[in-house]
Amino acid sequence: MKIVVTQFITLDGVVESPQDWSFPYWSDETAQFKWNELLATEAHLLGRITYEGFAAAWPDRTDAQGFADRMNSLPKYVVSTSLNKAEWNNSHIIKTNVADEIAELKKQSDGDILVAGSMTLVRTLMEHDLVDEYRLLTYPIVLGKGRRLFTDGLAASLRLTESKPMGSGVVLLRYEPDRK
Amino acid sequence: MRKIIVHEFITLDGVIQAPGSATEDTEGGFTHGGWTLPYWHDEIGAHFDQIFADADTLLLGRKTWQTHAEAFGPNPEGDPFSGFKKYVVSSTLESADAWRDSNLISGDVVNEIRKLKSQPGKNIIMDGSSVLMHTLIENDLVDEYALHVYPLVLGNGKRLFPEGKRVNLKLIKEMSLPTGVVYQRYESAG
Repeated sequence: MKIVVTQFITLDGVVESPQDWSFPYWSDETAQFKWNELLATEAHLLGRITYEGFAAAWPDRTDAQGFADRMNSLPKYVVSTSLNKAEWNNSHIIKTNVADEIAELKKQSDGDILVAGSMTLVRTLMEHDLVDEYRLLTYPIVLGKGRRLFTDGLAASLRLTESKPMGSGVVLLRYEPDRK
Repeated sequence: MRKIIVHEFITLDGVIQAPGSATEDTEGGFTHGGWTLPYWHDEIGAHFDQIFADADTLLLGRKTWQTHAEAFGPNPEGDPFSGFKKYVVSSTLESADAWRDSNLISGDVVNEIRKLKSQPGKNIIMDGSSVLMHTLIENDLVDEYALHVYPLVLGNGKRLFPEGKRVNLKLIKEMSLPTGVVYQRYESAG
């Protein structure tokens, strides 16, 4: 499987709490992109905080398209040293040997493993060179506060694979690691 | 009213420090200087030409002005900013004689720049100048951002946007270059 880090991100690199700032810019293109992305996904890989947010929001949701159904039925892997129970449907906890467990997960099939939010986990994945693609929906705002996707001390050379306006001033940027 | 147009080379983590050479600005122990070089494409130069064509004034912080003054002051023939009026903002500089057509702004920066904007003329361009840039952004004085976004995460260095200021923008242009640089132009959405 391919590990795909997918984020709503501001021009100053903030990815925290997109529900507070991204909605005014929602567009048909963005909706279609998120749906196609979910259809290509075989599992979610999440950090604890993002997992807990999702687990509180998704189980009660339904929609005509089936977005929520798919969110709820897909396997979820949550990385946490402190979590003892993960009750959202089809959830699994990865407690130790995180990099090895995830490398093992990648061998299991050909679909995407989606990582949304989960800033601490993304850092771990980057440190172990486990990310295969970044999809950054870049919003035309600067927040000036909030947690960033790329934190200090972390470096990467990437290769642009696509850039595309998504309506409402949002730009999709897709990158792969430049492993040379 | 003339516009202030900010041009920056910027990484995916928002860094704008020392894009053009290793020795340009090593403050804070920055060792990545010259990070734009492997990604050069002639289209980048064409974007500059477009921005320059509608401008007649350059507004710079002291360090960026000094970098340009050292390079072009003694070298009028090779000066790409020839014919531009320059303004350098500094509380320590005593004279702006080192580069032709330069003027010093040393106090009451925000008002001086407001005045500059209200004078007749073409657009005002800024590049580099991370300290001055923060002052302008915090005071809503920037009208447009022209960003060349590089496919790099550097992990440290001076950033374009200051902490604590929300800015809403409108995308007016977007295109990617074969070297992986994405050109994004935004204007202030108030």
